Amino acid sequence: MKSLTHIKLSLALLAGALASNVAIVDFAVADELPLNPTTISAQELAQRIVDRPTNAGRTGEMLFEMRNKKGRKRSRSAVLLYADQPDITKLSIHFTAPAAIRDTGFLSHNADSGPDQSWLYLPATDRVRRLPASDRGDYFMGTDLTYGDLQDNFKFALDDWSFTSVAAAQRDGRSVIELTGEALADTRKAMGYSDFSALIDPATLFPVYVVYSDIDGEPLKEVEILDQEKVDGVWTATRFVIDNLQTGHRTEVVLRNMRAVPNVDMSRLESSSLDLGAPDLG
Amino acid sequence: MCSLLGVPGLAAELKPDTLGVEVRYSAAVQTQDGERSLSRLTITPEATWRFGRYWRAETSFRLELANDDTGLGTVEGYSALTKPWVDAEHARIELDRAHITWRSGASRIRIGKQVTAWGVLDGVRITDRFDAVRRRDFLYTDVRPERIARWGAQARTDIGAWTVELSSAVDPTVSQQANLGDVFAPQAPRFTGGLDINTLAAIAPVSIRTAGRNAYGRDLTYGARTSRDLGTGRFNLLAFRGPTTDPVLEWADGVIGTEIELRHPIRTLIGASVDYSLGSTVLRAELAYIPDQPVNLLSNAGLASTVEERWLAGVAVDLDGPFGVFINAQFALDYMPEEDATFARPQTDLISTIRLQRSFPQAGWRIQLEYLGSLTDRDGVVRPQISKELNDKLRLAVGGDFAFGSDQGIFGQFERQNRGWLRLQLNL
Repeated sequence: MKSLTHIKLSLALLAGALASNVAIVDFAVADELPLNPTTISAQELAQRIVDRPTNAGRTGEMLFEMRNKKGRKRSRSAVLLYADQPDITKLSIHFTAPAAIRDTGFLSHNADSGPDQSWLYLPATDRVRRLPASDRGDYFMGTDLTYGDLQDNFKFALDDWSFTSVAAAQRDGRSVIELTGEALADTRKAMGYSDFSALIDPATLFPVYVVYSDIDGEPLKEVEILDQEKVDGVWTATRFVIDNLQTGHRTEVVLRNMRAVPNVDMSRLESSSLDLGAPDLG
Repeated sequence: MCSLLGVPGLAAELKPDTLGVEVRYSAAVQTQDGERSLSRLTITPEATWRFGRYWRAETSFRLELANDDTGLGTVEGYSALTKPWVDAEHARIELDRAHITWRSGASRIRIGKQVTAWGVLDGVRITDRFDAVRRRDFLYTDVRPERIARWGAQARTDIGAWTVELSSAVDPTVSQQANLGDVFAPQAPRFTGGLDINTLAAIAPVSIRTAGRNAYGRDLTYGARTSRDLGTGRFNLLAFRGPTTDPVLEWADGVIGTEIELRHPIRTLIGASVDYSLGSTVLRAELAYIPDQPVNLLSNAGLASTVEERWLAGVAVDLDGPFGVFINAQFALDYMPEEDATFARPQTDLISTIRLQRSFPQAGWRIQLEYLGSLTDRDGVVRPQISKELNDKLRLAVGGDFAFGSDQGIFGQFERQNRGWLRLQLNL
């Protein structure tokens, strides 16, 4: 069961996941810089990223493909439901494949103040089980994403980082902004990171490429956003890969058929509903 | 009416929404003599259907093939509705689950063959006594308890901050036991009404039967649970009434001899449970009161029984230990307050469980060590296991069940059945 307790969430990854009228926006489309790296400070840029809009509610499908350094692949697919309320975010994930974990449900409540809560429903046990909160640096469900990554939703929390530099840069012939930061002393162990270097898409404010170092300063992993979509006016990362530079393990995440749900039925995001199965996406 | 309930048209597709099958092979070898004690193939096909937005149906079957000394367990405790369709010496086919569910928001009505899993502890049954369970493998199962679905109905809805659930099982099926002579047939007198079954069997063949299980009205199980959040916890109150899950043994037809009957009188359980998040720790607790627990008494003639009060309580903690080890520890008390009676079982049972688990999810490995012990009987069992997810469909697990203690104890009675085992599971 522990492997299932490792089911943590992509609160925020999903966050961006909206869909319909999908406009896959190749970050490279943004040829002009709405932000001027010569006039904006690193702290101001980080604040702009944190303030990036998200949807109040969204649902869709989530696909994970994990590959180890020997090339062996494993995959997971799930239906997710997400709600971002003023003081709490709630996320449920109901796995649909592989068959061994079908109908397994995971729910998390992340409050702005107070402890996080999470639950797991295992069909084999027929009951919803409250889970211990995991450290932000723990890896989610065998992926290369930590719980903290998921919760951060491609943002760099202002309470976790000291932002050290900002500069103009190029990526694949496109203009981007390079942002660097160092983990604050009291958060680096919890996050599992000591510093990062990110390339920010100035049009969407998503970090399209990030390299993190572990707490010893050694390169740990690369995160690259491959697709972004604009749904209901909100940019969302809908395909991204994470490469662990130390283990050779790789995770690709795809969000599809995402749609905004402005009025989420909040009763479906309570522990008492977790065994009701996946929400209807219809 | 149909439209009110959101029933789709009759033309709704009967094509399953999901189809799957689990194939599981389990084998065990006794450590004492190297004999194969378990060789069982279980095939469980299942299908689900969605009919529109509100309706869902689910069914699964269980095909079991076994050629071993553990056996497939008794079926005498099954009602006619639940009895296996095929029941041969080495093969059995039964309908595992079959139910249809209407749901809207947090409300749900489910009718069919199903289970009612109430309780917050792991495998320690304090308030979780609504369902019949399989006991043919003692406690040596992957999931504990192994529930037996029964025909009935459930309803659930939210009323303000409270969730209210009603459940009934019209199916009087009771827990499955190991057949007499099988590996996990109870030996300790505390489970045999005070009788020494082996001594008795040495004198004359002993048989055990289960009282008829087709009194659908009389042996109804019904109850209610209400729950609500309390801070970062959840509190449950529940009550139910139905046939006991702990049978009493009586001489068949009241005649002292070699034919024993398992009886499952009706009893009531009133209980409460709570689980609570405290940082990275989860605390759980349960309390249950049974005012009318049927129980065997020690008697010179053997197999006397009475009805007495019974209290059960349990506490548990989940926490993340060092080196990524998940720790689950539980402690349970089972107490019969009547001082003047001499029960076949101890007046007080104290049970503890500890589970240590370390997962390596990216590599697909999981290592687990579980200890179950009785402070009353001074015995226990240690259960190491290691499993590997070979791919998305196939998982292999190997482990052992090593009991110790007196042959009069809960666990020690099966010390001679200590075993190493393997399990191969394929999910398609």
